[in-house]
Amino acid sequence: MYHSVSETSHPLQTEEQEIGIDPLQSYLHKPGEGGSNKNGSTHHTSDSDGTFLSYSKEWEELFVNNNYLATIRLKGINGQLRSSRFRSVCWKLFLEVLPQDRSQWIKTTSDLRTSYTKIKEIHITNPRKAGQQDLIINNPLSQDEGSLWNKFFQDKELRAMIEQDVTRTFPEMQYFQQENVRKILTDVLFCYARENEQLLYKQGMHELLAPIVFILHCDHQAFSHASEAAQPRQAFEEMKVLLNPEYLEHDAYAMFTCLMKTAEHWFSTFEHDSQKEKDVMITPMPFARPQDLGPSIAIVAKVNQIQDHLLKKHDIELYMHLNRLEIAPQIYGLRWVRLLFGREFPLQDLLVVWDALFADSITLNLVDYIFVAMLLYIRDALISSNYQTCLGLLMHYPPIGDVHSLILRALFLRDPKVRCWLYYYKARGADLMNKTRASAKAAPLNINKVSNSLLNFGRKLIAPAMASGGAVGAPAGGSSFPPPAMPIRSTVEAPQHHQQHHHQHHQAQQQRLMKSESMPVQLGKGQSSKNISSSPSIESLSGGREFTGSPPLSASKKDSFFSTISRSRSQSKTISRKESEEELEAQISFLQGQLNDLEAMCKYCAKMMNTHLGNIQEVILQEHLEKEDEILVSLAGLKQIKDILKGSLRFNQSQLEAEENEQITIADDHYCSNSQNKGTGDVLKGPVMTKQQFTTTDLSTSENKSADDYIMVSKEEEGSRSAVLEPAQSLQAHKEAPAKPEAPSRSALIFSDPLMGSISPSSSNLSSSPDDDSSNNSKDSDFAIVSPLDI
Amino acid sequence: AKLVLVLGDLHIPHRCSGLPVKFKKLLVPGKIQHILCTGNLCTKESYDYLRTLAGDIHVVRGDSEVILNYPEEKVVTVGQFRIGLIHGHQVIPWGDAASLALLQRQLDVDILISGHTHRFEAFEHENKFYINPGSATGAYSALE
Repeated sequence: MYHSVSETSHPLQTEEQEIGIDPLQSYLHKPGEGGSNKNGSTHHTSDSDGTFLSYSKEWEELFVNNNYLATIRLKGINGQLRSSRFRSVCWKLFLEVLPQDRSQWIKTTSDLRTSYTKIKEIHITNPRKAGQQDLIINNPLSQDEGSLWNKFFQDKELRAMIEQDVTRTFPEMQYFQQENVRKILTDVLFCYARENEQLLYKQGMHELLAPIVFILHCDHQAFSHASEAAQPRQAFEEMKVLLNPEYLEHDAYAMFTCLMKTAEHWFSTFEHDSQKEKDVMITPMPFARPQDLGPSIAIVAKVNQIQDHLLKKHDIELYMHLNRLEIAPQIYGLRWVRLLFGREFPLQDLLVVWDALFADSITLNLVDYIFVAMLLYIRDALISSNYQTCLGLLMHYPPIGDVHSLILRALFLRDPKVRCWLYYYKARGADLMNKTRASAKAAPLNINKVSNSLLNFGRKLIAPAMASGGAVGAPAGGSSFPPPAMPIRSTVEAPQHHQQHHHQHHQAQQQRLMKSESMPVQLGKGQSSKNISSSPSIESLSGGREFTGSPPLSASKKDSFFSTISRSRSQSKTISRKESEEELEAQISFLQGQLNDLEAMCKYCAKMMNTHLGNIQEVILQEHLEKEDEILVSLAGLKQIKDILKGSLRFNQSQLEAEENEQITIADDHYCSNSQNKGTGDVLKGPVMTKQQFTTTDLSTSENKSADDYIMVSKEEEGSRSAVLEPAQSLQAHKEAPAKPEAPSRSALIFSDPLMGSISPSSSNLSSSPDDDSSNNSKDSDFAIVSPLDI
Repeated sequence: AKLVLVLGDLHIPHRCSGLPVKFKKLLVPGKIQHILCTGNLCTKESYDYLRTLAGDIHVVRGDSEVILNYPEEKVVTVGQFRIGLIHGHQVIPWGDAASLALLQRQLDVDILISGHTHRFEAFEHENKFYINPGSATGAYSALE
């Protein structure tokens, strides 16, 4: 199935295959290679010959071809080494313990082994057998540096520290409770510490070493099992040398050392602060985040950089949430990075992650992206949790169903242009399926009520525009909680990987944009992207979609939609492209309907709000209350809300975050110049305005808005308040109209520039003079009316 | 590994003013786990000093003690070894191997530590080990 998709050359397809690892490539290879590998590894025969045959066959597949290094790297990234019996050899190659040149393998291995033996001899000594050392120097109580006894006691301390950690390595695994294994771990760590005095031993190194020892052991087991029925072949000698169980310790040491070459600066506690003395005197920055205080250590800087840049780039909502809760990334991040996620995944999954990590590069560059992918995986739970729950989630990372999807996501985060995004969506479908299962059990999450309701509100606004279609057939004003929305959303997303990849790409873009941008803008974009997409039927659908506005109709659509979805879910892998297109269209039509429903709902709400606000305003102004201003400010806020619903005001996601935003701040470019919406808004206000229209017959009414503005202002001055007012002007005008009639009216009009968009200056100028005239007229008329009476 | 300090016959302050400086420098608190003293510390101050070096201290009574409430002989177990401790003036003739062997059989120990002769000895006799730490201060002995 993937073959067909990859071979389509879509006109709008973006990148060509990039140099380097393209996960797609593995599927372009003969499936026989991957298949036989799996067959080989799961081949349990009573025929002992067969076992060894399959075993050596696997060896040949992995290592006996021209470009074997790239092949096994691919396999590593795709998680195909999970059941490989030569994992340790692969890791050796990734970590550059073995050279690329196969003929050098045996020599290199024996060299490394002898060097380890020497190291061990140097460091692990018995002071009693020291030979002829001067007793004055070498006695048990000696503090002398040259004394063997002294060294002995220092070693003893170091060993005790290491053993403490070794005892706690993988307590759930029987293998690590064995004494000889523990001794191996201790010896290797001890030798490493002695060889690297500047770093010594740090807690966490044991977790890095343990899986290495484990896979070596597994491979040795496999080898002995296979060689029980030994048929000496060519590769046998090589295998025998490489997988010699006697040298487990030596090999482990070599691999560990290579790994630590990259990982050592994560363990280093060398502080980079050059101004330590000065800093003691200077007080730290006020309101500093907890992670910014304290000396700068490499690993702390790294996790901070991951959170501040990578996470911010990919998910600003989560970033701001974590910032607000002041969760310093080093609380959980230190452990994640130092142990290479050793405590976050069960061992088998961890090995898959390490396969990918090592296969990707010796610099372990993928760690950052896996970090972010893990955060993104639980982002929903994090965002809806308070400090304690968040910490709980991060410190005890919830189990993941498919670790491979995480790796793919990390790859995607790093190189969005490489074609692995196809895999991303396939994985994401699985991802969300898992999430639904998880969310069903996720009831005991401690959800912050305030943020939850805000999120619901936000979700309801955003969800319809999302191509994935939230469950927002809910009646206007009802609050639908996220859990029902999520399963439905996920089931919609599951079959999406079957669609044409281009459309999918746009949907994904939309989804990504959804997170941080305005709803009306998205609505606009949603329309345009659908127009761009290639299938003509979709266009006709979107064009022909009429606003229905009746809930029962949408409900029936929903039912039929879900039946199709459930059908498609069951046939996920085998569905043909044509069928998927039809589904696509059905989905789109349904989503369009939902979209329209919601639009109508919002407009209706806006209209009703408008009317009622106007009424309230009228009454208040007539009353001449003492604290009129405050009420009017609140009214202006309500008008903002009305504008958001109507779509003429941009809804910024960050407004949800700024809960303390008491001020109603209106930036100059805050209003979007969407004349379409303006038009509908004007139409709505039509009936209200007509009674005012007659006073402005002399004014050119090319700009309805401008007419509105000054009309309303003038009406105010006349003393009869108009029902419909724009928020900005009302704020200004109301405050100042009772006090100073003429001058503020002019300024209010000039302030109305943003609403007008580009045409604003001229219109305001236009309006200002007629305003003067008309106001003067009205004033004059007033005077005209009054004065004769007076006289 | 455990370090056990075996010493005795200090005779401070009667015959010597104190332990030799170089030796005292080596005695870092915390390094030694046990102290076995054959006796004749002679004063409480010496005993207190030894107490600061290690937590587990065993002293037996010598013939010129100030503090009289130490036992005459003691058996302690360190590791897998039974160690017998006695000052040595009770064993007649003083320092005689056969007499010490008699005592060893009596106490049923693997290692027997005795003093009083102010002469350092460490030998194996009939599969058992005998230690004499001599005098830590090099004090005068009637036997010289």
